[in-house]
Order: sequence, then structure tokens, then C-alpha cells
Amino acid sequence: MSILIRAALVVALLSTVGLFMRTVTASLSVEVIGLTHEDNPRWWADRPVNNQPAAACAECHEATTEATTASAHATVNCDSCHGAAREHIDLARSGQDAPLALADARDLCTTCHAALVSRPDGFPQVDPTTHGAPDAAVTSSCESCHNAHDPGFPPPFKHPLEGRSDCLVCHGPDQWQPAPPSHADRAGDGCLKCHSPEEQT
Amino acid sequence: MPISRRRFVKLGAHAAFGGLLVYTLRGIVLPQSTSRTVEAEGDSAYDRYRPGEHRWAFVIDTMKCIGCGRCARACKQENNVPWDPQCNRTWVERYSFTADGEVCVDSPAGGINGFADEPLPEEVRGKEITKSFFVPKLCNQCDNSPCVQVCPVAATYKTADGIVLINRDKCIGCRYCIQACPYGMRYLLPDERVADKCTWCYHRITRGRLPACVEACPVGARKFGDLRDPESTVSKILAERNVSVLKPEMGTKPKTYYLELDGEVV
Repeated sequence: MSILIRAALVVALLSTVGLFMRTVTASLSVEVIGLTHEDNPRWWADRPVNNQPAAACAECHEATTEATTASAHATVNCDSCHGAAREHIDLARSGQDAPLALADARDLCTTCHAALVSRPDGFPQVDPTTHGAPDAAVTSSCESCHNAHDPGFPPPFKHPLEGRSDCLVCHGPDQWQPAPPSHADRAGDGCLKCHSPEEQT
Repeated sequence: MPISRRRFVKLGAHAAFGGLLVYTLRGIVLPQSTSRTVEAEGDSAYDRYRPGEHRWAFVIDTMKCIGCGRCARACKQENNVPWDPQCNRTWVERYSFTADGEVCVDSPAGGINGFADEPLPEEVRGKEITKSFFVPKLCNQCDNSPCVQVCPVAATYKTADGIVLINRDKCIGCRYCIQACPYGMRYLLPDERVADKCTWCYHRITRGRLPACVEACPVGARKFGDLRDPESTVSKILAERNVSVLKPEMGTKPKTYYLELDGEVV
């Protein structure tokens, strides 16, 4: 019996010592054997910032940035379309030319604006296969009509096309955006007599 | 020389006690000296950053996401993530539900090119779609992270502000953490042969900026902020709106919250 008590005492003593040592060492041992990462968060924190805010772009592209940040594309960061600008900016600041590659406008615009059943209702979407004027020259680029840096809502169209026949490509009867019925008897007058392409309303 | 059992046990106990004592004293002396050298380094933005004063959280509004994938693309460029479609720190998934009860999830190339080229996934083409939406995914920075628990060399750890990071100098590339993450957030860097994952752009948030994916999102579907600041967007959303996390049953305590999350999303 006494041997059992002695054994129990030894176990209790060892456990007490063990627990004491553990509380003392637990918080420190991890650091001692090199398992903490004092320098590592710093290493991560020191990674370079590649995507730049619009303010950085405004250093050189002031007018464009200003127009965009006041437009319906205000929430679209420059880098979202143009790509991460750090290298471009670094080189430009040191006086070197570093053009940013930009994907074809039609690909870029459809990334967000091609109609998809999965997109939320209310987000402006078009079917790229039918949207726009039925004219190869016009359909080739969204930018023929829309300005990516100031799309507006509804978009204020740039009207680079002039002259009666060109207007009817879009605004003729049965076309994409037909002229109102009241215009039917104005065929001989020419659109530009009343409408100025630059101030189209 | 013969040695009695009693003497042998006694010697052993002394040796063990002495060893523990030395170990403890080292523990008390060494960390102080190392932390002093770290503080002395000081020339980066990290010196002015106090990790303990922040508790970062991420909120994703699935009803706003348009699936443009600019977030995933910005992330690749920001963090030099390989363009390999297997390597993604964040990606966008598309959920498509058909009238006959099928659920299809796809994410071509992680969504870095958007979904415009593939209006619908192959499996459900021609079928009637009852609902469909996009779900951006990124590291949940779990408070109770399985990846940290399983790492055999303690190469991955949680910072005081709650971000799970990987020490590339310690990682042995065993992939155990990649297996352990219930969300599939980790991958192996093909060249370095070390595990990698989203850090919520630790280099940006410690400089007071937003993560690259948040800045890149044109519709505000991704929100990021500090729960220690009651006025932050994320604090307000968590206080006022119905949010959920992915796989709550795993007990990982994620810090990426989802608004309007469909029950089918995993």
C-alpha cells in the first residue's frame, strides 16, 4: 500500500513541476526554437504595391482621370482596364516611355457589359452580337460611339459620323434607333440642317 | 562500475530538471534580444503599423458581383501570382441553377477574363436557367484555421491583426495545408515549391490601402475594413445586415462574410 502512495506522490510531484515549467516556457519556447515569425509579417508588408489608385495616374493624365472620376465609370479604377501601373509610373517618373498595353476595346467593354444571365438585373448590359449600328466600321469598336472615360448614363454618344446617309445607318426606319415618325417627311432636308453631330441630343 | 537503479533514476531526474531550467532561462533571455534588433531595423511603413490595433474583415455582396473578373486579374498582377489557372489567390465562381434541379459551378481560368466569352457553362447550355449568380472567393483568414494547425513546421501562422501568412523560408512544400483548407484557398507556387495564399494584400492594408481586388471591383461587391472601427463599412454591415460565412459547420470562424449568400454555395 505504501508503495502505491509513494508512486502517487511521485506522479503528483512530477505533474506539478511539469505544469509549472510548461506555463513558464509555453509562451517563450515557440520563439526560442524559431517558430515565431517576427520578420515575416514585415517581409509581406514590404511587397511592392503594383495596382495604383487613380490619383497616381492623374499626375500625368489629369484631364482623363478627372473626367472618368466624375463619370458613370467613377467606380472603375484605371488599373481595372489598363492593368497594374506601377512599372509604367516608375518608368514615366524617370522620364522613360512605357506604354501600357490595352486590350481591344470591344473585349474590354464586354467583360462587364456583355449580357449574361448571371449578372445582376439593372446592371447595364447589351448583346454584343446585335448591339450598335449594323455597320462593320461602327461595330468594330465600342469607342466609335461611347467614351470609356465618360460613358454617361444613358451614354452621351460621340457622333463622328456626318451626313445624311450615315445618320440613317442607325436612325433610319427599322434601324437600331429610328428617327421619330415626325421626321418621315424631312428626307430632303439633311439631318445636319437641324442636328449638330457634336451636340447631339 | 555498477550503478543502483535508485541512483540512476535520481541522476536522470536531476538531468531532466537541469535541462528544463536552462531551456527556460534561454527562453527568458533570447526573445528580448531578437525583438530589439527587429525594432531597430525601422524604415518601412510597417514600423508605423500596429497589428494589435486592427481586426480586418472582408464582406462580399454576391448580389452586386457582375463577374467581370477584374478582381482576380488585379490580384494576379498585384501579387505576382503565376498566370497558371491552377494558381489563384482569389477567383470568381458562377453558379447556374436549371429548372430540373441541376446546379452547375464553373470558373473558367478563375474568372480572370470574365465570363463574357462563355455565356453559360457547357453542362447547362440549352436548358432553362432559373437563377444564376457570381460568387467571388478568397482566403477567409479563419480565426480557427486548419491550415495553421496542420503545418508540421509551423511555417504558417496568424498575425495579431488576424491575417494568416506563410513564411516562405520555413515552408517545406509538403502540401498538407493545401489539403487541410476546406475552402481550397491554398496552392503550391510552381517555381518556389512553397505554399501560397491570399494575404488580403498585407502590403497594402498595412500601408492604409485597400486590397487590390477591392480597389479593382467596379461595382463595390467587395468591401474591406477594420472591425475595431465601429464606423467602418464592414462593422456597419455586420451590425445591421444578415451575413453568413462559408462552411460554418467546419468551425473555422472565417472573417470573410457574404451578403445574400445562396444556401447552395459552398
